[in-house]
Amino acid sequence: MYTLIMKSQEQLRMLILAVLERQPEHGYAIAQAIKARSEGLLTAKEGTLYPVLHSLEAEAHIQSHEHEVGGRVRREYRLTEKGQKEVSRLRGDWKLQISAVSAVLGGER
Amino acid sequence: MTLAQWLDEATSAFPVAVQTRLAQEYRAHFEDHLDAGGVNDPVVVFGDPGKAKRAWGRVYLGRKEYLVFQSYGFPAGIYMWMTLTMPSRLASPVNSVVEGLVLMTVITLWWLTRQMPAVRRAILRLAGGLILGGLIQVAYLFWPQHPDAIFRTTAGIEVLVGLVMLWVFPLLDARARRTLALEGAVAR
Repeated sequence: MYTLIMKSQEQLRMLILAVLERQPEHGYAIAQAIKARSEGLLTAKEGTLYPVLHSLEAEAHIQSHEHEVGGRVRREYRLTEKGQKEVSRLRGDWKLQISAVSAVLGGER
Repeated sequence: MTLAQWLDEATSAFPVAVQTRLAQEYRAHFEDHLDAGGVNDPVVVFGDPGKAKRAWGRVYLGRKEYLVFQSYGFPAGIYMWMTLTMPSRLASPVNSVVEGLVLMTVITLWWLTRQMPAVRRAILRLAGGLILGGLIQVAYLFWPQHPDAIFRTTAGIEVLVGLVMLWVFPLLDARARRTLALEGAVAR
């Protein structure tokens, strides 16, 4: 199956925030949500998912806390108000980019 | 490669508190991955540990960097050298004005950073000294009456170092703050 490895940190940030916009999740679930929502087309190497999560947390776009799931400790990430604004901004920027690139590429006649 | 080997390669260069937090998250992730029937190979899941290490290096201070800044001697030495030797090299008509400004800035910086954790204090004082030194040398680099070629060379180097520090400092300080946050979490 053809997959696109996420190379841009900015794109990965946007996708993480978009996933957390729906509900708080832990790292594994975030990675799975990105794959599932893109129908397997987008995938992030999960070793580099966490550095982005930690940066987002340091910037107060998300916050995390530990909780127990089935006897195992998991760290759950949750979007903050600042993160909500950031995801809206990134979504707007992304739509503008798509629209601009599409205009240059042109469509099928 | 086992998970322990992967973790060692990706995280051992960082302070213990950082290693602990990262290992905890990677282990939990790997357990979930195995529970879902995934292959027992951390490289397949997390990718190249060297790449992860580089990515973490942009987020946290390395163990060696942390120790250097924590021990304080090295950056403080450079800082002191910068501030103590500068007035003697600034033999110009505006020397006393510059000396006064340098002294005021140095004292202010010293005062503002005095209660910070040792790592951030060292970074801020070092950066402050180098940036201040660079700024002052910009003026003297172009002072036409100054005949000393060696002076011009060293001044040029100091301007360059100041500019580099101006660019590096915000990134370095952000990494220090993140690292200290984890160190604090463990200490509590």
